[in-house]
Amino acid sequence: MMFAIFLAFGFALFGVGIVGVAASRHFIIMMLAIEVALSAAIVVAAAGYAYSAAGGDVLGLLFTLWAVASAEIMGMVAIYRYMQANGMSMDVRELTKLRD
Amino acid sequence: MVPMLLYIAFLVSAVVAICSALLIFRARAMVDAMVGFLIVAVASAAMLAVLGLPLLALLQLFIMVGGVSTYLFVGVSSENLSRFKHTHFPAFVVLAIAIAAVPIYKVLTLGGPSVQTNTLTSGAIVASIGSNIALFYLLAILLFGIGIASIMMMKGLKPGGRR
Repeated sequence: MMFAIFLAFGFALFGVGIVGVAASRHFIIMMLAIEVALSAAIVVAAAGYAYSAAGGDVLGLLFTLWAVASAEIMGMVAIYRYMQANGMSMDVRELTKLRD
Repeated sequence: MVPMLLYIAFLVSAVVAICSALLIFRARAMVDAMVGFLIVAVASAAMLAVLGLPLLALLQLFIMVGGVSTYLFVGVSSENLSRFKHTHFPAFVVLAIAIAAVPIYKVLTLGGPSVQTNTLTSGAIVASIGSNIALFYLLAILLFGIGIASIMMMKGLKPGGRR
């Protein structure tokens, strides 16, 4: 039963993260929402690992998730610098100006 | 007794993580959103510790130090560009409940397996770093504290307030 509760928590946190991307229009808040979803994925993967007798395989997945989270931060910094250099606000609706 | 303590620790971590995640989208000041994300990161590390994976919890803390610090820098420096209502909160809550309810209903009707002994939960980790694990946790918490406090002191910021 505990495994199911861990999964339920992971899904709840993942739902918050994914819906946060949809409902927010602040660039950094959207990035934070993706990080929340990645944290949920890490918890679910670790729970799957802890409740399996095999072991070993999930480490690659976890390191991949951490790498994706780090890469996302680097991408965010690059886009943020670009937006700042072009005098834009953090409202993602203004991202259409990137075409110019 | 111990499973009950673990269960309580899990519940506390879960409630703290979900509430902090909601704070991210509710916060007006970017610093508050960052603090919310920081608490989510720490609570998810606590989840891993509850699962009996202290090494992964430690890795999670160390990796998130970099992430949270970067977000803090960017968030603080964009404070003047962020004065608009960024999240439609009622729609957010309704959608989040709708998206999470379906898989949660499904998994809660399943019978789950009990926790197993495998590579990371067996004696290997305990024998190697177990005696120093408190020191590592202290180091990670100190890094978090120093990073966040230095940024807030540098910018003269207070959570929920203005400069």
